Amino acid sequence: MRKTIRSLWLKLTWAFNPGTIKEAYRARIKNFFLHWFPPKVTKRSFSWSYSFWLGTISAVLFLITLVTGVILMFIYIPSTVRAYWSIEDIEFITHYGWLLRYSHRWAGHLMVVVVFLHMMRVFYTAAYRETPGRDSHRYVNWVVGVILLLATLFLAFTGYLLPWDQLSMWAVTVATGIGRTTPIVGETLYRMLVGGTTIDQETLIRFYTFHCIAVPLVVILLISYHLWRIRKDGGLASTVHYDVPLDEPISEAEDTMRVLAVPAVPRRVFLVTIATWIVVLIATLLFRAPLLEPATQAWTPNPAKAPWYFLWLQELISFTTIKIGHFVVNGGFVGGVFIPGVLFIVLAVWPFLDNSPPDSTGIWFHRTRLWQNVLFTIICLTIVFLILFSYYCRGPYWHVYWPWNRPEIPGRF
Amino acid sequence: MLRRKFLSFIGKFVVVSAAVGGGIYSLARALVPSLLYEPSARVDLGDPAAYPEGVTFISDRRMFVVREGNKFHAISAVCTHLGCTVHNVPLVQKKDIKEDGKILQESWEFACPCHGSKYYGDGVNYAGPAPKPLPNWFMYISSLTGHLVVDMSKQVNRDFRVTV
Amino acid sequence: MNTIEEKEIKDHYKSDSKWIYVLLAVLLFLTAVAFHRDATPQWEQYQAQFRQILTQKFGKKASDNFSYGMKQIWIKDVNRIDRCTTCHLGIDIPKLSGEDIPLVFRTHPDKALIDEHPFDKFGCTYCHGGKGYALTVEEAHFSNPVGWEDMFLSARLANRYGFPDYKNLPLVEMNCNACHLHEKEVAGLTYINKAKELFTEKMCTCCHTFSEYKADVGPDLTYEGDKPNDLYDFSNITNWGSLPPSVFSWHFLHFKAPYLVSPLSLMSNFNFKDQEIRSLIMLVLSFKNMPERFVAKPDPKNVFKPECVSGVPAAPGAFTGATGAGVEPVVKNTKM
Repeated sequence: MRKTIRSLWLKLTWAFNPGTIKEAYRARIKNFFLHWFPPKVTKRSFSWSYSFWLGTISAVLFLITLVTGVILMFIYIPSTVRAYWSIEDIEFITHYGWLLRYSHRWAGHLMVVVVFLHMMRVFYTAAYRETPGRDSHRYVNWVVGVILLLATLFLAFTGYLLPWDQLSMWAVTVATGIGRTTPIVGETLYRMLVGGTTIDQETLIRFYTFHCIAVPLVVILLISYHLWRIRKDGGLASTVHYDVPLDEPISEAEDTMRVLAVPAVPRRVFLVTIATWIVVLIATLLFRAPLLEPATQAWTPNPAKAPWYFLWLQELISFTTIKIGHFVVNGGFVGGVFIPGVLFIVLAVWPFLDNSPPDSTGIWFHRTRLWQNVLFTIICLTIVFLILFSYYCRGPYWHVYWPWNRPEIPGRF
Repeated sequence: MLRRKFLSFIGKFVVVSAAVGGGIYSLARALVPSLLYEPSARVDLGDPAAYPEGVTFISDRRMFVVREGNKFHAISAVCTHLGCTVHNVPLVQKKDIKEDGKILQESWEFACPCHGSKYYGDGVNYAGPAPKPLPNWFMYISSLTGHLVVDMSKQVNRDFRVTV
Repeated sequence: MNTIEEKEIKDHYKSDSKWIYVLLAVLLFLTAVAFHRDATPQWEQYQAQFRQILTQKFGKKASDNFSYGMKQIWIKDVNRIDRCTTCHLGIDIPKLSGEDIPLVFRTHPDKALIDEHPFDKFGCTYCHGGKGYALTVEEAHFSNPVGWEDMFLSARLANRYGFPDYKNLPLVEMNCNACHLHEKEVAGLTYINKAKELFTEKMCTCCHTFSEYKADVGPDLTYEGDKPNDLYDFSNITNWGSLPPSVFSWHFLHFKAPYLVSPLSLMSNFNFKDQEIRSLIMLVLSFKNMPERFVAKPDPKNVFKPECVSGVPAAPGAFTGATGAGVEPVVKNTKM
């Protein structure tokens, strides 16, 4: 009996605990969970201080939102009459409902932050560049990454509407209003998103479907491609040749820079997973998710702010309305569509605009990339500044106040 | 040496499974509802004078209120086989049935449209896959309003009657 | 002879394993905290206390037969949930009305009132306000006004606004009148009855539109109780005095001296007494849009009819006294 238990246990776990190098190589081929891993990885790509494992953290956060989200789907009801109350039911009468809801929200918001940081890291290390002498297409992965960033923002945005409280309703009104200002396609896009002319039941079911099925499916496919692309391109970007086939000899020097992927990488992935879940759990235990009054078209909260990751857009649209004589362009278009559109397109094609030499690949803040790094940092800091400014300094009627002076609209009693 | 390894293994196993299992447990526990959105078991049926002689079907609570002269009782309309709502079948000719050695006369029966279960007028199952008779619910006259009130959380035997 | 493949693995990152176990222990601790938080909800403590009281008063059998757990009153047709009975367990048990029973468990006073307004048809929050669906004291009773406008009308609140008889929950009258609007006099509503008297006497509908009485001098008061907070103009109130900043206080200061709160107002200073002002504010804030089923149909002899009648000498205080703009208010005659 003990022998069969032991042999069963060994069968399940041998791949994660290989004893010899041969076992380590075979583990990746035989085990389903390990099939993505290469035979060896460079020490640099493995190090904390190179990538901070931000990509893995984003994936783990996505997984957390997926798992908590699926359970929430059993309880949440996407009807304008029942949505708000089903959220309150989740909070009060469902066991661990509060845990699910707050974890889901924190994991989602953290995902936006971490995905953005991951993008910054890849930019600063020029990791969108091809490995010289190898047929790789890292620029494709960069573009897929930008699309994933947009998908993450869209996921957060569609989820924001689902509680159907005053915060959701008006944040979505503002944001969809921005999209509407796009010439030619704006109105059609608006109709597609909103399902009508006002934010109502049609909008809720569309956003629900986007949030729970359509976009997660796309994200899962894109993440799969993103990871496949990494293997195809020979792992994380660097100027060093590695991932060389077993039968090709490599120099001693190069070999010391590499380590066996299994068991080191899966073990580190597990560590990152636990650590990320701990951070989300701490945030869940300490902070609540807000819920204001049930949504009503009768009045708009004063001020009506977009979710924090769109506050920089709300700032831009509030002062970019152009009026030259009779020529008027809505700030919604300039600040909400044109400027961010240009920024994202430039971001997506940056690998082609980057003229720095190949030996800056995989190096943090290489001196040949000084100016692009400075420009990029300025843009990122501006976005962060606009978000913070809008969050803390904008009060009723969008007037500017010092954060400690911001007036509150008095309540009924 | 072996014992130490085993103990350390058990320790790690417990920690891992408790930590991870705890998370998984909370996901499952969240799906077991604690509070139900269902109407209360007590149903106010209104003025007894408004009920005609014979069987009245209360569709939204799935039960029959039976009036025989000034005696009332309530029978559930949920088939004891798999839960379909049974139909009341008035009999053109009164039927004699034998129950517990006594002979009773019935002017209606109940029949289930799903799998063919049949019940006598007092709810006793006599044909089809139904395993048990239709339950009778506790009933009383409210001292406050004079209305008939049925308590669907309390079952009574099929001789129970409320006299108005 | 060992080929390269049979060599033992040089495990470079073994410290990761140690970290994993540390983090798992932290995770275990946090999971235990989460479990504890879920397993010990506040309402369970209240129910345990209630069980003890039942055992003391009625014996063990009665306290065991009582059904515990989360409770709610679900009024299906208006989609309203009130979970107050999860803690307020003695509300419909007549034998728990003694002074020795803690207030939370005591029988609801005024049996005649409850017979007219049974719990399963009206719930709790239609009268008392508050967040019915909440299951903690903080959420249900003291919810943040910014997030939820249907404030719980407690004695503490009434005391805050200077009601001398705050212990009788006078503010609840405001919610009573949301349904009993069309009745001139309702038994027990001392403040509201007085307010309706004043409303008719001072002929407010000569300037303010209210329901079927039309006027175009002042704002429409028909649904004043539903008016959102940020549609009030607080900008001219520089000194709230001892009053908390709120819509209620806005009305208080406005009734006391309309031109100070709204400089362009044509409304006279009626020199109301403080208690009269409180009554009037409750009346005005009770003008809400209620579901049809709830609105009480008045007896034809007891209809609230605040008409603007010409030819009748104006009651003292009406249209006399200083107005801020120094302009005589224009009175439109609604009776032709």
